[in-house]
Amino acid sequence: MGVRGAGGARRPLPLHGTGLTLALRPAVPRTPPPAPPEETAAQDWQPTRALGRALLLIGLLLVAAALFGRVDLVVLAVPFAVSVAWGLSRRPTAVPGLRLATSEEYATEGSSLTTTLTMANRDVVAYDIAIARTQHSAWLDLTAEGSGAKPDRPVVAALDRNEAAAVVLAGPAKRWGRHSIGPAAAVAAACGGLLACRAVVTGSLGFKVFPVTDPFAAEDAMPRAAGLVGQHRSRRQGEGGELAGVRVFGPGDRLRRIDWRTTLRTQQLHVARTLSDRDADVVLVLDLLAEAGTSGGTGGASSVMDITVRASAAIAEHYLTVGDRISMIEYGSSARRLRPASGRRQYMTALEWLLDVSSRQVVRTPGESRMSEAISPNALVVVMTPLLDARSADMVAGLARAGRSVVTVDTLPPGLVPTVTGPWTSSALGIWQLERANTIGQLREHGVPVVAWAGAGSLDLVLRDVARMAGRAQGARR
Amino acid sequence: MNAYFERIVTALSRITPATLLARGAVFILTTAALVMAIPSFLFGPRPILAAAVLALVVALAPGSRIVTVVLALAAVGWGATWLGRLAEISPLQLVAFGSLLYLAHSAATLAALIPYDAVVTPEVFVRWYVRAIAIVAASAVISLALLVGVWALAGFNGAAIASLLGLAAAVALVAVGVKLVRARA
Repeated sequence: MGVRGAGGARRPLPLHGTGLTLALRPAVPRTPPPAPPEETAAQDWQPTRALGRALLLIGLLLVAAALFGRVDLVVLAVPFAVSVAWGLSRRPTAVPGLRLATSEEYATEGSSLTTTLTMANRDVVAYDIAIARTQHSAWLDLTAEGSGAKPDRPVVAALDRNEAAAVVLAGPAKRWGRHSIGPAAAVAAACGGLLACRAVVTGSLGFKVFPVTDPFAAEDAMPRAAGLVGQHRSRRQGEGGELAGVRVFGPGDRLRRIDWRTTLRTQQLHVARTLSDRDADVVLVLDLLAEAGTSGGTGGASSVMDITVRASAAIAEHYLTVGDRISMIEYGSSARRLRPASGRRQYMTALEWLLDVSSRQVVRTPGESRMSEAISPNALVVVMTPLLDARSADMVAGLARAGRSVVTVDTLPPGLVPTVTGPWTSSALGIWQLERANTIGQLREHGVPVVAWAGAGSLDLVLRDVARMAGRAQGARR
Repeated sequence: MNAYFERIVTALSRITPATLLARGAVFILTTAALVMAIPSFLFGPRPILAAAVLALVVALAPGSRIVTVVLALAAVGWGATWLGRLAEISPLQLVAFGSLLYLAHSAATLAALIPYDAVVTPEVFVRWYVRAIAIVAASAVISLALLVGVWALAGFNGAAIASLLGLAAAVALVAVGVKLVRARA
C-alpha cells in the first residue's frame, strides 16, 4: 500500500524494513535548486509586535536617559537591547515544512484511519515555538496517539534546527461518505518571538468511507429472469439444474436428459424437464427527496439516507454475487444513474456511486415516463423510499402502472418523532401516520408490496408475491 | 444573544492549562514590575490593586498594544519614583526591576503566540524561560559592569555619561529601525 500525502516538501520515500530509499528518475535533467532570494526570506518572516515593543521601550528609555541624564534608565534598556541583538543576530530563512500523510485511501464504516501530521524545521535557526493545526470531517473520530487529544486543537512544540515533530492521528470513521483530513496549517516564531513566519498550508487528504452492508439474502425467484446465463431459476423450461417434472421422450430431446428410473418403471422413455437458469436485471431507485431522523454513525441511530445507502449496498452486494446486473437511479435533484453491469467491479463502482448520495429538497422531479423508460421491462425495481413526499408514491405507482415489477423498501426509521412540539403535535402526527398508512395500502392495492428494511430476508416474502404477479397475464394499458 | 454566550462558553471550555500557565506568568511578572514602579509617595493598597488590574488586562490581552502601554507606564513610574534621588538606588534593585520588566515583556510575547486552546509540550516553556533567564543574567552582568564603569568615571550620578550613552544607543536604534522598515517594505 502506498503512502499518500499532502505537503510542501517532496522527499525520497523510505522503504520500511529494507533500509533503502525509493529514488525516482527525474523527467528533466537535474539542476541544483536555486537558493531562495533574500527578499523572499524577508517576506516569509515578519517582525512581531514584541519586536516593535522592545524597540519602542529601548528608544523611550534611552531618549529619557539622554534628556534627563539618568544612567538607571540605560540599565533598564539593557535586557531589551540584549534580547534584540541576540535574537536578530541569526535570522531564519526557511518556512517550516508541513506534511499530512496516510497509508489508507478508503475504509468502511467503523474501521480505523491513521494520518500523520509532520512539522519540520529545515532552517539553521531553532524555532522557539511552532504551531500546527488541522481539521477533519465531523464523522472521523480522530485522536492523537499518546496524548489522546483531539486534533481540533493546535499543537505547539519547540523545534531545534533540522528537527521534526510528528503527531499521529488515528480513529474510526463513523459514517459512510467522502471525508477529508486537512488542510493543515503551521506557523513558527523564532529569535525569541521577535520574528514570525507566514502560515504554511497543506492540501487535504480525501477518504472514501464505504457503508457497512447489513447481511442480506433473498432466496426467492426473480419475477422475470432476463439473460441466458445466471443463477436464478426462471419460469421457462430449458437447460438448467432445477427439476420441473418428467414427461415422455419426444423428438429432439437429449439422451442425457432421460430419466432412467421412470423409464424402467413405466417401460417407456421419459425425460426430466428442468427450468432454465438465467440472470436478472435489478434496478435500485433511491428516493432522495427527503431526509428524516438523526444519523448517529455506526452503532447509533440511522437516518433515512443511512438506511437507503446501507440497504442499497447490501442488495447490490447480494445480487452482484449471484451474477445479476445492477443499476441505480436517483430520484431527486440530480437524477444520477449508474449503468447496469455485473461483477465485482460493478460492486465497487456502486459503493463509490453511493458515497455521493445526499438529500435535497427540489421542486421539479424526473417525470414518471422518463423514469419507466429508463428501466428494462424485465427488471426487478427496488425503490428505497421513506414515502414522506407525495411525489414518491406517485413515482412508485407510475412504475407499477408501466408494468414494472416493483418492490418498495420503506426507509423511514422507526420511532421517529417531531423535533418541534406543540399542543397539536400528537394529533397532527397521528393524522400524518394515518395518511401514510393509507398511501402504503393504496400501493399494495396497485400490486406494489411495501416492506420495512430489516436486513437479511427483508425482501423474501414480497419477492414471492411479485414473482407470482409477474407470471399472470398483463392487461394492455390504454 | 444566546449564540454569542454559547460561543463564549465553548471558548472558555476549550482553554488548556498551558494557556493558563503562560498567562499566569504574565500576570505575576507584570504585577511585580508595576508594584516595584509605584512611587513611594503613592504606595498603598489602591495603587497595588490598580497594578494588579492592569496586569490582569495584560494577561488577558498579551498580543495587544496594552502591553506596550503598561510596560511604558511602569518605566515612567520608576523614573518618577527615583526622580532627584538617584544616589539612593541600590544596583541590585535597579537590575531586579529591569529584569522583571523584561521578563514581563518576554512572558507576554510567549502568551501572545500560544493559542488559548493549544496543546503545548513542556519543552516550549522550558526553552523559552531558559533563554529569557540567560538574557536577564547576561544583562545583569552588562548592567553591573556599566554601573561600575560609570561610578569609576564620574560617580553614580554621571549625567553626562548617561546622556552620551543614551544618544549613541538611540542613534543605533534608529539605524536598526530604518533597516527593519526597509526590509518589511
